[in-house]
Amino acid sequence: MRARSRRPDDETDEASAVGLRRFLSVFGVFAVAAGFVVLIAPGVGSGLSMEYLVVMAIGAALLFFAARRWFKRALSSVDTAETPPVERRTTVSVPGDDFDEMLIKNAENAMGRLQVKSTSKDRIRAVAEAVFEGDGADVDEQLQAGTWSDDADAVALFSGQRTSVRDRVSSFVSGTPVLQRRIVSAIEQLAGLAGEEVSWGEIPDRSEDREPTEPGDHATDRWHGLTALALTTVGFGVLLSQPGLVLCGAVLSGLGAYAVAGSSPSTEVRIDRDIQPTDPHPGDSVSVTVEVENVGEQLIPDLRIVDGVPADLTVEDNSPRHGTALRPGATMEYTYTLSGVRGNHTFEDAFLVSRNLPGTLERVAETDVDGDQSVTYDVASALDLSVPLRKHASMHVGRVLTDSAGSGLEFHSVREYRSGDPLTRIDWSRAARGEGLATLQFHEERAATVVLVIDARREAYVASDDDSPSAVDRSVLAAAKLASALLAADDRVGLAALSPRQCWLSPGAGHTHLARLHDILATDEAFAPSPPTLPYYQRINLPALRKRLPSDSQLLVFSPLVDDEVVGVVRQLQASGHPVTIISPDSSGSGTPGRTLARLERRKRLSELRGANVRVVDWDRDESLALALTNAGRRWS
Amino acid sequence: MDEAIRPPRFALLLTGGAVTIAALALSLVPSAGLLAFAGGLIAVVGTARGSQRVLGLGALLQFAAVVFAGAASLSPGLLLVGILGAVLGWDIGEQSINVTRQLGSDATMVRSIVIHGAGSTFVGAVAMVLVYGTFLVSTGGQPLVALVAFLGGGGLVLLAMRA
Repeated sequence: MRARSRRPDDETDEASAVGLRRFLSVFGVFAVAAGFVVLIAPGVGSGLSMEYLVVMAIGAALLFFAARRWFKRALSSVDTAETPPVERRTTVSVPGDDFDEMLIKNAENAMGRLQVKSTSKDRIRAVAEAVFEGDGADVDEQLQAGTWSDDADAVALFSGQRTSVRDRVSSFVSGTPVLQRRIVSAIEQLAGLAGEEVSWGEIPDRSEDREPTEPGDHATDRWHGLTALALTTVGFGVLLSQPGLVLCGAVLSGLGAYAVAGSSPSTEVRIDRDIQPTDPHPGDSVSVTVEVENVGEQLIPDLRIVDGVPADLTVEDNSPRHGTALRPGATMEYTYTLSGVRGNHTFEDAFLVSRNLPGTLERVAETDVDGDQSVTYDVASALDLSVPLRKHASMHVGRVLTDSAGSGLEFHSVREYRSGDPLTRIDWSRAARGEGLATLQFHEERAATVVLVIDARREAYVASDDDSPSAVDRSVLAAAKLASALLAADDRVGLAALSPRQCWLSPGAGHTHLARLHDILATDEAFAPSPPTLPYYQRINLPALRKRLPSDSQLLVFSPLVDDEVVGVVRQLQASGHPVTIISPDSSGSGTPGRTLARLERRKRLSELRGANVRVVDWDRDESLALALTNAGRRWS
Repeated sequence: MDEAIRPPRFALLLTGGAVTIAALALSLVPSAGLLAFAGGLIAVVGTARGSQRVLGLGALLQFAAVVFAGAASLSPGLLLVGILGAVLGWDIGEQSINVTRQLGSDATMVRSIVIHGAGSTFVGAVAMVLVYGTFLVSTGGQPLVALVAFLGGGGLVLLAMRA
C-alpha cells in the first residue's frame, strides 16, 4: 500500500504557497531587480511606462510561481487505485521458486549471502549424494577435491578456493554475483550428471504484487500541473504582450475550475452474478454473467468493476473486469468464462472503482454480489483402471491374489490330504497313479482394504507452472478414479487427508460408499482448492491417522514429494505394518536453478522411498494415470 | 494483469485526433507546427505503450509549441484550439492508460474513456467560447488597472487551485 493523499479539502500546504507575504516578498525582489536594471542602464526604463512595469513584474512573478509548480508536479505522480489480481492463481507455487527468490534477493548483503551460501551448499550436497550414489564421506571428498565436474565455477563452490580477480571482474561486468554464478553452475552440472535437460529461462519476478487499495475516497492528483500550465502561458503572454497566450491561460483556468469542482463519485450499484453451470465436470468451463445496475440518484460517469474470481479458477475467455458509465437506473451486463480443475470455489465480493467526470476523485468499494456465489466441480468420472495392489489383504473374498493357499484359480502348491477337503480339490491324477491322496492348493483371492491418503498440506499445493493443475488437484481426481476402480473390484476403500484439516472416511464398499467418497473429495474442506493456513504437525496429526487405520489395510498415498517431511510420514506408516504405494504427481518445474534443484531433490526422495520398500508411481504431468500405473506395475512384477 | 498496458485502439484514435487538431491549428507557424506534430506523435506512442511519462513528454512538447506559436503572434483563436487539443490529447491518453492499468487490455472499457473525454471536451469548448467571445467583443483602450487586476487576481486564484 502506498501512502495516498486524502480528500483535497484536507490539504493545507497549498495555502502557504499563496500567502500574501510570500507574494509581496517575491514582488519586492522583482521591484529591486528592476530598479537596478534602470539604474545601470537608464535607457531601458525610459521606453517603458511605470504602469507597464507593474504588468511586467506581474508576468515575471507568474512565471516564477509557474516554475515552482512545475517543480512540484515533476516530483509527484498520478495516483490510481490498485485492483486485486483476480486472474492470478495465488493458491499454488512452483517448487523451487522460493530458492530462486532467495538467490536473487539475499545476495545483496553480507548476512544474506551467508544464508544463501549455507542453505544452497547443504541442499546441493544432499542432492549430490543421490547423484553420485556414494556415502556421505565419499561425496564430501569428491566435492572438496573438485573432481566431480570440469566446470570451474561449479567446483569452486565446494573446494573453498579464493575468488580470483578475474572472477570478480567478470562478475562485475555481467552483474551476477560470483556466489550466485557458482551455485547456478553447480546445480547445472549436477543436473547434467543426473541426466536432466537443463536450459535456463527467465526467473519469474513476483515482487511486483501490490496489495489492492483499501475502500475509501482518494484524490488522484490527475490534473496537477494544470495550474503550472496556466501560469506559464499567462506569464509568457504578459511578458511578450501576446493576448492569445493570456487567453490560453484563461481557458486552462476554466478546465482547472472543472477539475477542482468535481463532485464525489457514487458507488451505489446493485450487482448480480449468474453462473452457468454451477456444477460442472472437471476441466469444463463456466460462463459467468455479471449484471450491474446504477441504483443511485446520480450519473456514474466512470465505473470500473473487478469481479471477485476465486483464487484457484483461471480466466479462459474475456475478462472479469469491465469499465463503463451508467445513468441512474441504467443496467449493463458482461460475460466472461472461467475454467477450473476441481473443488468447491466461492466467489469474493466485487471490487469497484468509481471516478467523477474529471477523474480527480476516486472511490474504491467492495460490494456484495447477489445471485450465484460458488461453483462446485464434481469428481466422478467413469473409467476402467486396474490398480496394482500389494499382497496385503483382508479376510473378505475379493480379487487380490494373495500368497496364502486355499481355493482359487491360480495353482499354488500340493499338500497331503486332510479329511474334510473338498472332493473337487483332490489331485485325482496322482490318486490314479496310486500315489495316495493329495490336495491341490490355489492362490486365495481376497479383497484388499485400501486407504487413500492424500497429501494436502500447505507444501503440496504446487504446480509445475502457473497454468497447470496443482498436485492436490491431480491427487484428488486420481483418488476419485482409483476409488471407483477399487470398489468395482470388490475392494474396500477408505479415505484420509494428510493435512491439518482433518478428514477421515472408514473403509467400506458399495455404491453408497462410493458416492459418499466422491462427495467428500469434491467438497470437503481438507481438499479445498486453497492451501490450509496452519502447518501440519506430524506429532499430533500422524498418530491420530495411525490409530484409525485398520490393521489389514494397505495405503495408496498421493503426494508430489516436495519436502522431506512426507517421506518421513510414509516411512513411518510403512514401518507400522501398512504396505504403502505412493502415487506422486510430478509437479517440478524447469528453467530456473531453484526449480532444477527441486526436481533433483524430488528424484532423491523417490529413490529413498524405493530403497525403503515403498512402491512408487512417478506420475508425469502429461501422462495418463492408467499409463503411469501400468508402467509402474510392470517394473514391480 | 502483468502483461503490458495496451489501451484500446479507439482510445488511441481519440488521443491521436486531439493532438492532430492541436498540431494543425499551430501549423501556420511552421516550426511550432512541427514541434506540435512531434509532440503529438510522442503522446500517441506513449499512450499506445501505456507510459504516462512518454505521454506527458509529448503533451509538454505540444504545450511548448503553443507557447512558441503564441510568441510568434499566431492568432488567438488558433492558439486556443491548439492548447485545447493538447490538453484533451493528454487527458484522453492518461484516462485510457489508467483504465487499462486497472482493467487489463482485454476488458471492455471504451465507454468510460469516451464519456470522460466528452466531459472534458465539452467543458473545454465552453471555456474557449466564453473566453474567445469576451476577447472578440472587448475593444482596446481599457484602463491598464483592469488588466493588472485581471492578471494579479487571476494568478492568485490559479495559485489557490489544487490542480
